[in-house]
Amino acid sequence: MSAEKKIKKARRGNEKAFQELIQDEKNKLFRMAYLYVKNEDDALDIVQDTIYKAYISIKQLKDPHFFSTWISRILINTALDFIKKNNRMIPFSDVNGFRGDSNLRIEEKLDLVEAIERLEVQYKTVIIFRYYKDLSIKQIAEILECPEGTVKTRLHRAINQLKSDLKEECI
Amino acid sequence: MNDYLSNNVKKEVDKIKIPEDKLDQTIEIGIKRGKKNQRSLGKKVFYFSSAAILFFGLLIGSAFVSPAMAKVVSKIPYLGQIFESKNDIVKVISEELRAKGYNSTGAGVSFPEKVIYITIQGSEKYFDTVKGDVENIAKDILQSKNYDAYSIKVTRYKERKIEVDEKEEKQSIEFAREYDIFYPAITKELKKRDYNVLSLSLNYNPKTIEIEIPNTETRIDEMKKVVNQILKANNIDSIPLKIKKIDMKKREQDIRWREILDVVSEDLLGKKDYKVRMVGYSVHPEPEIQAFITLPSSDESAKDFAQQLEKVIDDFLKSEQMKSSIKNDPYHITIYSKDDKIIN
Repeated sequence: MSAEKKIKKARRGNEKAFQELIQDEKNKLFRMAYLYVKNEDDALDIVQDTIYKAYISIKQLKDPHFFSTWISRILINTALDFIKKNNRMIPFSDVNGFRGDSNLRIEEKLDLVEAIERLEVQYKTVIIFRYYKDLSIKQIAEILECPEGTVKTRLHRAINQLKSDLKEECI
Repeated sequence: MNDYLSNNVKKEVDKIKIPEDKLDQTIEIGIKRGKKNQRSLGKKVFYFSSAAILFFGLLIGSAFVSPAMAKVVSKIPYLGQIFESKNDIVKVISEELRAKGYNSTGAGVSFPEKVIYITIQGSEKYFDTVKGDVENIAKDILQSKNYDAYSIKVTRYKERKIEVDEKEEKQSIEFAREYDIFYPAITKELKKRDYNVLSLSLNYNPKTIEIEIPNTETRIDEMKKVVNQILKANNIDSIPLKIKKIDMKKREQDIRWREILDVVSEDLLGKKDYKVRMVGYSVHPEPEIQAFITLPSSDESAKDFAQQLEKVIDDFLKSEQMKSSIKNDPYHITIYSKDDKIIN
């Protein structure tokens, strides 16, 4: 059964089709959530909320081609809500100091995932969408409901940030 | 940097470890929560529709009083559907397909898998072009009745050659010849003597004649004699005769309860919420409706669920519409768990 058919079925309330769709996406969903909250339990909570929201609103998914994008968007909004609610986001200035320390200790390697995890939320989001979900600038702008220029700027800054974080590594 | 990111983000992020069991569990809980939410939505719809039905009731009520009103009412379409009798879902689907002009040869449903099989006759090309449409029509019908428990499988009809054993073929022709001779003869004779016969059949393997009579009929020996005489008169070897006495009251009850089961089972089997995998009935010694559910008896909630299900069925059987079929028969409802234990 093609993905499109599954989505159509799921929209008509077929639970099995929905489950199958989620099976294809679950690992990505978990990893994205993990990038935001940096721990397993919270990431699982976010995935659960995402699936709940997706299940009750799948009828609103207009274009079945974009299921993956659509559910990623739900996940990221859920993650952002979660961070806001739990106030677990570490302020950027703290991260800076913290990073300095760890850089001294683990001199040679700060891996890419860690670097992404440390990005500010808005930078993190564009990096995830652009490089993990392979979306175009235009698509990201649509999802985030902001001008393409803003996306470009954020992406640029995010990349600079990553660059400086990873400069010990040979890029 | 751009290239570095597009090459490495996926690779690196995909290294984040997945707690698979926990993730699957979490997904299940998420879906369950979603289903609960939908059910409460269903309630809202229910309230709304009961208000609508009440309104319609008033409208029709006033139609009887006022001719002006009657004219208004006659313009509203589709009211007839409410009074239409329920129909077997498979029949509805196959009739719809026939009406739409598809070469469908048949539809059937298998339990407990609950798969509706539709077979299409025609070339492979024809099959490929209509398969999707047929599936969608069937799905729409299921959808319109809110039957979410069935899945649909459309297949192409393949002609099978039936191998014929010559000896058997000969036997069956001989058998048919005998049948043609004695069947009219016996029925005529029995009728003439005014025996009360319900049915007369000839079984092929082993060869026996079976006659069904009401248990009020007492002239059994006489009847046997008559039949043997007729066979002799037509040069047919004597055939063992089996007489089956039928309790007419039970038979009537049996037919009635089979119909009741048909009505009850439509929804029970069609909707996932009921968790019913099979249904059954019996009238010996007393009418009984049986429902086989998918929960094992070890499941904690199984007992509660079974009791709820029993109540749902009971309420339905006690409803005004079912009164004429049930005719004050005492009955019980038995719920079987997945491992076939009675759990209510």
